[in-house]
Amino acid sequence: MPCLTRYFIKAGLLYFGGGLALVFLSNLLALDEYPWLASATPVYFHMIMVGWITQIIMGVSFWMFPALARDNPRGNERLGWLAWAGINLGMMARMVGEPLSASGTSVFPGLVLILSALLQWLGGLAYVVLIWPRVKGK
Amino acid sequence: MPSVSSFLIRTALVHLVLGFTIGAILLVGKAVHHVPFQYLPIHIELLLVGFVIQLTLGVAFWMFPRLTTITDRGRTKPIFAAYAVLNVGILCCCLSVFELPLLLGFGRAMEVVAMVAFVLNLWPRIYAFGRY
Ligand code: HEM
Repeated sequence: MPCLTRYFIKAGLLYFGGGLALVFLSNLLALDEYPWLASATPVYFHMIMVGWITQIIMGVSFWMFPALARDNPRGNERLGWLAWAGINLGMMARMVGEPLSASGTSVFPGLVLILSALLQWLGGLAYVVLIWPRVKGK
Repeated sequence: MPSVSSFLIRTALVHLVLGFTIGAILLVGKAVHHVPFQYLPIHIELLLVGFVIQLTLGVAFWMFPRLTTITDRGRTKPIFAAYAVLNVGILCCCLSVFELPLLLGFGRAMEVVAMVAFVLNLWPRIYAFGRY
């Protein structure tokens, strides 16, 4: 299994565990006493769908999809690392920005959310550019 | 990879880009406290059905055990038809946010028809090792 795939899967597992813990917490605690938790629904949902499911798809497809060429089977790996960094830094920024933005009106959380949007979008795009040429029918 | 799988997977990747783009717009909206929530259903439709489910179906048709011979994956025509119906369904569900509620019911019905076709065609390919 390539190193990049291991990074995708291990980061994915962390988001899966963290996301489930957050689901558990928000079901356990009274939301009106912890306003930051009330903003957690989209956060844990995306920790599971982007942090876990999407990263597993990215990691496993980079590993298993048909080779590009004999001398360059997996394409430009740098794009893969860009995707990994974009998704993970973007998700972390969202995990910080969402509760901060829900509990105040200062400019900082807004900037963190904009950064998160940009990073995740770039990450998704880098992955698609990397994997597209490897999706080829016979 | 069979060509029908490459169609399904490439279309899923297009949905990923569109869905992430709308997601990013929604998130920037949250940053400026002005979220265009009317587009949220498009974001959800593109990513859950268009990306995750469609990619899974493409990989399943490619990777599931073959029928009888090592090259036989079953008929591809019904899968191509289901691919077309699924994507028309997704498109209708997305367009329904522009005050066209009837399209939502029609789109969902198309999605169900497509899923039934996928299940019927993939079902015989799910069997225990050495059992066929
Ligand atoms: C496979 C990937 C994704 C899936 C399946 C997905 C699905 C969803 C779903 C179901 C919701 C509604 C959740 C709720 O109401 O609590 C939602 C909301 C949202 N999504 Fe995503 N999403 C994905 C990726 C993304 C990405 C990459 C971004 C940003 C770059 C994003 C930004 C948003 C925003 C801003 C909302 C609105 C949250 C709110 O209600 O406050 N999503 N998404």
